Amino acid sequence: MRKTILLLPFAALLAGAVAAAPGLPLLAPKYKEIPVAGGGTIQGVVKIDPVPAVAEFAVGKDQQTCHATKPNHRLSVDGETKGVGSAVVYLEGIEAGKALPSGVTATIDQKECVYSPFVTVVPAKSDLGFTSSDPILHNVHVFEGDVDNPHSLKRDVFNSAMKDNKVPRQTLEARDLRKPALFFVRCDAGHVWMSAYIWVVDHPYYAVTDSKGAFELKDVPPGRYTLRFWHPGWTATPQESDGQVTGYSYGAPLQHSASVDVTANGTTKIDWAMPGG
Amino acid sequence: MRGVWRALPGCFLLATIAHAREETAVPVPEPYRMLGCRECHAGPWRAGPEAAAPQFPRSREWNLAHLFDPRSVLPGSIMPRYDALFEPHPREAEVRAALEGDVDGILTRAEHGGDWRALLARLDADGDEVITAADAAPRPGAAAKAILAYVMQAAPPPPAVASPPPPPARSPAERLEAAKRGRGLYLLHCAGCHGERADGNGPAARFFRGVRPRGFLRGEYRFKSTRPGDPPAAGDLFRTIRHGLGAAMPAWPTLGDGQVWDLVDYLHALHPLHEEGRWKEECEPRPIEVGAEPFPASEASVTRGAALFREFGCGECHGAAGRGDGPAAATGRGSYGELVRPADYSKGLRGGGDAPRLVRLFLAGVQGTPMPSYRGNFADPADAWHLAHFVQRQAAAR
Repeated sequence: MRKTILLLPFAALLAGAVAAAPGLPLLAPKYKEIPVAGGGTIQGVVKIDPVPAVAEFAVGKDQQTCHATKPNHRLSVDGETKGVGSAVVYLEGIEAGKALPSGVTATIDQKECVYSPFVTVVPAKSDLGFTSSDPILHNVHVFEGDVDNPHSLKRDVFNSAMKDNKVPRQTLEARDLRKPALFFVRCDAGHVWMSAYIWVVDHPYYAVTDSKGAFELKDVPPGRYTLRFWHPGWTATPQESDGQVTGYSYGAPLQHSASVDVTANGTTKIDWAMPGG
Repeated sequence: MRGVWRALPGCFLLATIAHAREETAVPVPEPYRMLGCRECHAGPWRAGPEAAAPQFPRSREWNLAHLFDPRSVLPGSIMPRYDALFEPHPREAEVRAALEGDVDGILTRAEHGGDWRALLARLDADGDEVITAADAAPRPGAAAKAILAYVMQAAPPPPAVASPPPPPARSPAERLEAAKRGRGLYLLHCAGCHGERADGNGPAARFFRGVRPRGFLRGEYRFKSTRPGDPPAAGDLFRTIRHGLGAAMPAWPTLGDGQVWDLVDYLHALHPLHEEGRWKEECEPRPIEVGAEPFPASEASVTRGAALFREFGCGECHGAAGRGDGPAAATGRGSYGELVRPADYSKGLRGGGDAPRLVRLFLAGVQGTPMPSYRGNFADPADAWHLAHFVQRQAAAR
């Protein structure tokens, strides 16, 4: 520990803090890639009940591109099925399974002052970049956070200006994409409602729910697992200064755990009903 | 002659009276005389440096903290507290009460240990206003302000900023030993503002308005010559320590080069990307090479720079005239969630205004603030120099 010598007598405090820090497991055993024959499938839907009424964001700047108001993109609910998009579903602590995809390229675009997609999951060692479709100034500001507190702003990872839609794709450094991490993205150019989340993962059993709230994990080695659900939440409390909204304070993410049994060549169905209250 | 007087017991009083008649270049204010400052700082005792001496740190915040409680910034000082010259802040009780409650999304009490940093970005749940530590710091009264003004004005002209000497070649084991020595120096000189735990939360930190003392454990440095996300180069840290930053961070001219390099090794050792005396894989600092200024700041260059300033949206934060008052200026936040104002060029260009430094800044951004890197936005590399020339013109037009 770099700090044990240099910050005595706080060494014990810091060592304990690092080991106990909530978030992605720092000390998890390394994932082993094994051939998976006759693996099972986990399917399900994330729904919300009741569907909460969510206030729109007020747009204080660049309304010709961003429009006068913006629906709260943090909660996207399918009208018919009540399915919730952009929830992350994953197997916690799985130690062996199919290979992590390599050579993955992912791009997050800025369109009409919203990041698209809102939640992105990429395998470690992939290529992740940002583009802009908007003819106005944005900056993509990426911070490292924790699963339980994505907005902890632990580290300022990346901050790139994009003055218009002609700026070439800007990529994160490879060193920031090597290990599991959770990133929070925001814009500082007055577009205070913009937010996005990026998960860098070290095993392939992750899914992001689609617009109908559906997810599927395939080729899971038979066994019993803990399936975890994560949604960044939609509550956004405006922070004001001199009558101007200077930012939003987001609530804690909604999370859920379920025990799931996977059988060879079988399909296990499991849903999550998010509390909408 | 003074030495003789000092040597004879009972002659201190006479010597002090003799000193009281001396004139300095800056008129000494009444409080400085009447409160006994001269007894120690100019009299035969010479327990502390004269106001005009170079080793007197020229930082308003440091001096406020020092006057309030000398031992908070100078361990082992024998100077008495002058906290009677300060008035408690009317909101102090409210701010202390705020520490007991949950700090909205920034730091929990378990993390901040009940200290002032938690107040940095506490946001009222109703969105009323931001309370910062400076909102509740003790306020200097008239006498304290007069003493502070005198100390700041009596400063000798600062030495010219020179390029740092080459860092000593050290093995990782030597760096760790140097870091331990640096830790000792740090506790003596730096911990007053930067905190014993190197978290930017020393006893003097609450006197800071706006920008706080740097918390080194995050590994974020604003003033560096390396690529975005990279750690600072050793020379960057040497330059900041030796010459200060012209604002709250004073110069430390009386530290020897070896001592400054020991402090640099200590700061590197605290950096999250540094381990066992060396940088982690792929985390070596990479300097941004911009070369020398290729052409001077002609009118054509400044005009082109003005067009780029508009095209790049710089005015959104910095304002059309570079006063830091653009439409997005009020929304900028730093890494602690605190509101950060864009630079106001009318106050000068902090850290140096030469064109190569400005171009490096455009390409690097300022880590820990909303100022992004504009890498990828310059279709023509010469545009970066035109923009630098325009910014220099804005700063000169005060």
